Amino acid sequence: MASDLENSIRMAAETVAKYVADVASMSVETKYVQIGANGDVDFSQAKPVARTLIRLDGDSDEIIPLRQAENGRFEADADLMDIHRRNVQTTIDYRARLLDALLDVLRSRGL
Amino acid sequence: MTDEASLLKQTLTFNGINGATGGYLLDPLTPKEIAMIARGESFEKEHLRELRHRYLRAAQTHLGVKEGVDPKKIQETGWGVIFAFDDRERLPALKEALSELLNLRQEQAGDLYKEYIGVDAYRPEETKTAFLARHGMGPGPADPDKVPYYLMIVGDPETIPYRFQYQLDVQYAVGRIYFDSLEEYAQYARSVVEMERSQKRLPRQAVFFAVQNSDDPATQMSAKHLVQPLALEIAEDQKQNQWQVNSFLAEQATKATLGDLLGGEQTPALLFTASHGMGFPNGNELQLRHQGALLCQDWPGPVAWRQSISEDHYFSADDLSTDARLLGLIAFHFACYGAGTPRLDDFAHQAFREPVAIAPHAFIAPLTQKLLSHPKGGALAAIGHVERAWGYSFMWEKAGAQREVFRSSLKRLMEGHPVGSAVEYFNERYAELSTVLSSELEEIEFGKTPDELALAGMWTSNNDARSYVIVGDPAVRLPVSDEGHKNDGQQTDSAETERPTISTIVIHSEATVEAPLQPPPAQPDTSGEVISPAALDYGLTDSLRQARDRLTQSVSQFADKLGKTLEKAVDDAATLEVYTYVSDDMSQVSRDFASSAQLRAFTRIRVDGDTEVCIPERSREIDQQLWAIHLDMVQQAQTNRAEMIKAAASAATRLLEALKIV
Amino acid sequence: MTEERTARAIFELAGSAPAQPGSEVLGLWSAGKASPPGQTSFAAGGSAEPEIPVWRVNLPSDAEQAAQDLTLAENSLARAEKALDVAEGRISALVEKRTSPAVFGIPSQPEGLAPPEQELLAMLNQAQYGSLAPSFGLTDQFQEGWEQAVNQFQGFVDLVIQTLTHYAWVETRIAGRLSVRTAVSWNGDFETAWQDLIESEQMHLHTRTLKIALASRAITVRSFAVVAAAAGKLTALMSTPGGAILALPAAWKYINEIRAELEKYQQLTQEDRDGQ
Repeated sequence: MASDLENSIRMAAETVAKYVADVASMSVETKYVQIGANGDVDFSQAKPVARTLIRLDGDSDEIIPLRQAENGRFEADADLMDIHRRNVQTTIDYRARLLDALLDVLRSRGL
Repeated sequence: MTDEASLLKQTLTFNGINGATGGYLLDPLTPKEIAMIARGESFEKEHLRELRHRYLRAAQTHLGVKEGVDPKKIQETGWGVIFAFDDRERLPALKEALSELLNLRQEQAGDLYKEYIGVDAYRPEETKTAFLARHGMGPGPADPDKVPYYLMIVGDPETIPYRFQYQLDVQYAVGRIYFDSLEEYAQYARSVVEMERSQKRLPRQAVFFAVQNSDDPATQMSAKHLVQPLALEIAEDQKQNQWQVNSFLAEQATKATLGDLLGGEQTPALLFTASHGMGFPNGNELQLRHQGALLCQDWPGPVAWRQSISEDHYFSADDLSTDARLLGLIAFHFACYGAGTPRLDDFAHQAFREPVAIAPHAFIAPLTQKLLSHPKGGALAAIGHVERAWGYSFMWEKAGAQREVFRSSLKRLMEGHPVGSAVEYFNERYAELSTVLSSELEEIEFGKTPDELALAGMWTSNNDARSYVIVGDPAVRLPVSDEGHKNDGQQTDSAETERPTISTIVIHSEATVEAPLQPPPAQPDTSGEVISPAALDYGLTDSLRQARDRLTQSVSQFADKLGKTLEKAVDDAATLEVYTYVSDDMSQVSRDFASSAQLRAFTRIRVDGDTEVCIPERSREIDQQLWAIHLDMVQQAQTNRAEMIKAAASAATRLLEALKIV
Repeated sequence: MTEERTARAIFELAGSAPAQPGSEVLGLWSAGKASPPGQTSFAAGGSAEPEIPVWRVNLPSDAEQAAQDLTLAENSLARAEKALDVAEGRISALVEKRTSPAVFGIPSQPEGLAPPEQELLAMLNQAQYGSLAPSFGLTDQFQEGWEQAVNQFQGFVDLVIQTLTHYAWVETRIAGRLSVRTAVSWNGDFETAWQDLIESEQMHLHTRTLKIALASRAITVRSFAVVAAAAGKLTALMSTPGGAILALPAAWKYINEIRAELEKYQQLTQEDRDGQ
C-alpha cells in the first residue's frame, strides 16, 4: 500500500519536474466572437483581440490588432484591451499559483 | 523460560461469579496484564498526600485517632452520625427510628457526640476534604474535639457516595447503615443497644468458613493462602484468651452449613467467610436482591457447571430464616460485593478511562442489610468489599504482610476493640500500598524498568485494602464474655447459653422512609443466555482486529485512488478549461451542457501559461455582464485547481508518512 | 442587526452516498440522497441520469437574507478550516507533553486536559488495552464505540475519494428555482450554465455559493491530510501494532470535536453579544 502510493507520488513529481522545465515562455491570446441575432455563436469565427508573449527573462511582445478610425488614426478597442491585459495578469498569477501547487508535490519528495 | 517470565504469564483467576452466566465476573488476567492496568492507576492528589502522611506517621504512632486518645473509649474518641442534606425531609423519622442508639451514644460520648444534620449534614457531591473543612478539620489524624473519630453514615451510597466513605475512613473509623424501612433502622438500633445496655454476652466463638470450589483457582487460593493459615494463627494467638476457633473448609463449607452459622444453632460471635461473591449484569432482575451473596461449596465449579448459577448454590438475603438468631454477630466476608456495589466500575475506569455502569445505582449488599436488621435481632456489623475482592494479593511474595492485616484486625476485634478501630490496619495497609505504588509508578514514568510481578501484587493488594467497608455502627464491638475485657468499666463473666433476641419493632408513624431507590428501566439483559467458556473469550480483541482490518482495507483503497488521482491531476494540470453557457430555461440543461445550452465564452490555460480566451460580443459591444461572469469563473477555477493539487499532494504525503509507521 | 444568526438557506450535499443521509459534512452541508432519475431538473426529456454529487444551495428570495446566509456559511467554513489548524497544533502539543522524558505512555488521569483530548486518549487507551475489555465485561460498549467511530471515518474517506475522483455539480437555487449550475470536473475544469439575462445580484450569489462549495471540497481533502498526520503523531503514544491505522478514526473524531468546540464558542460569543 505504501509503496504504490510512493510510486504515484514519484511519478507525479517527475511530471511536475517536466512542467517546471518547460516554462521558458507563455502566450496569452484574447479573441472575441459575435453572438448572432438568434443567440447562436460560431467559435470557429472568433477574431483575435490581442496576443501577448512573455518570456522567462521578463521580456514580452504584444500584438494588438488596430483599426483605422475616421480621422485616419489607428486605435485599439479600449474595452477589449482592458480585458486582454486582465487576462494576461490572470494568467501570470495562475501560472505562479499552479506551479507552487505542483512544486508541493516535489517538496513532498524532499526535493 | 525463567521462573519470573513464567510467573508473568500465568493466568490468575479472581473472585466473583456472574450469576446470570456462570462465568467469572472478571476474566483471568496475567500479572503482566495487571501490571499494565496498574500503570494506568491514578491517585487524587490530596487524597494521596493524606495517605502518604498517614503511612509515614504509622511507624511512630497508634492508628487513626490523635495521640493520647484510647480508641476503645467512646468518651475519648467521640461519636458522630452523618445524615445527608438531601434526606432532610425524612430526618425526623430516621432519628426517631434510631433514637435508642443515638441516645446511647450520646450518653457515652458526652460532649464529643455530634449529629451532622441540617447545615452540617453531608451536601450533595461533597468531598471528604470539603466536609471536614466545614467542620474545622483538615487532613491528618482525627481530633475528636472537632470531629469525632467514630462516624456512622446514615444514607444510601448514591446520596453519600462510597468514595466519601473510603476517603473519610483513612483517618476516621467509619461505618454506614441504610435500610429500606424505618422498622429496620429501629431494629438495628435496638440490636446494638440491647447488646450494650443489657450486658448480654456471647460465647467466645469464632468461625472461619472457606469455600474451595472444584477447578476454581480463586477459592483454592483464598482458602489455602488466606483462611487456612489465618484460622491457625488466630486460634493459636487467641488460645490464651479462651477463644474457640472452628473452621469449615472445602466440603464442609456448604450452603446448609452457612445457614447454620448465620442465624442457626452454630452462629458464632465472629464469623469470617471467604468465597466468591455473586455478581449480576447491570439491571438483571436478581442483581439488587442477590448481588454479594456468598457462593458456597455447593457450586460444582466452572468446569462442571456452565450455566447460570442456581440459587441452591449461594446464600443470599432470601435464605436468612425469619427465625435466625443473629444478635451480636460481627461478620467479615471476603467476597466480591460482599458489603456493597458501586454504580460505576472503578477498575474498568482505571484501565479504559471509561466510566462503566455495573448497577442501576450504588447499593449495600442485601445480605448484609438483612443481617443487621433482622427482626429477631441483627448482627452488629459486617465488614466486606464494595466492588471486587482481589485474591491475588495473597499470592504476592509479600502475602504475609497482606494476611497480617487480617490477623491484626481480627485480633483487635477479639480483644475488645470497636470494629472501626479494629480495621484501622486495613487503612494503614491501604495508605502504605498507595504510597509505595504511587512512588513506584512515578519512578516508572521517569524511566525505571517496571517489575511487573511486584507491580501486579502491589496494585491488587492496594485495591483489596481500599475497598473494605463497615456496614453498621463503627463503635460496636464483639459482645463476648471476657474475664479480662472491660466493657466501659463493667465486667461480666457469663456467656449466654441461648442466643438472645429482641422483640420485633413496629413503628406507628406517618413519616416513612422513602421507597428504595427506583432504578431506571433495566437495561436489556443480554447475558442471560448460556454462554460457553469459549464464547467468554470472544471480545474486543476480535472486534478491534476487525476494525483494524476494515480500516486497513479502506485506507489501502484510498491510498491507491489518491495516488492515481495525484498522478492524473498533475498530468491534467497541463490544461485548464473554463466554459460559460447561457440558457433560457435552466430546467432543460442536461448533463451535457454543450448540447442543451449556448456557449458564450471560454478560456483555456496551459501550465506553461499559454492561454486562449474567447469573449462574447453582442452588436459590436462586449457583453460585459457575461464577461464578468466568465472572468469570475476563470478565477475560481484557477484557485480550485491549485488548491486541489496542493491538497491532494499533502494528503498523499501525510498518508504515506502514516503508513510507513504502520 | 446581528452578524450571526440562524441561517435560512439550505446547504445540501446530494449524491451517491459519500456521507450517510441525515449526517452533516463540515457542520454545514446536510447529506441527502440525490434526486431520483427522471425528477432531476436537468434531465432533458426525463431520461434517467446516473447519480451525480450535487452541492446545492437553496437561497431565500430575499437577496439581503440570502447574502447574510452565505456570510454565515462562509464563517462556518472558516471555522472548519481553523479547526484543522487548531487540531494539528493541539495534537502536537499533546503528543509532545506525553512523550517528554517525565511522562510515559498514555497517562492514567489526563488532568487538566480538555474533553476532546480526554476522549481521544480514552479511545487510544481502549485500543491499547482492548484485549482486557472482555475481562471487565466491556465488550458491548467497546464494540459499539469503535464500530461507530470506524463507520464515521469510513464515510469520511468515501467523501474524500469522491471529491478527488468524481466531478460534481454546484447549484444555486433561489426559492427552489434553479438559477445557475457549475459542473466541476475532478481536476478542476469548469462548465457553468446561467439563466440568460440573469441579474447581476444572482450572479454574485452563485459566485459565493461556488466558492463555498469548492472550499468545502478542498477542506474535506485537507482534513484527510490532517487526520493522517495526526494519526502518525499519535502512534507515539501507542505501543499497539498497527496503531496508526487505529488512530485514524480516533483522530477524525477528535477533529470533529474541535470543530464543534469552535462552533459552540462562536455561539456563546454571539449570545453574549446579543445580550449586550
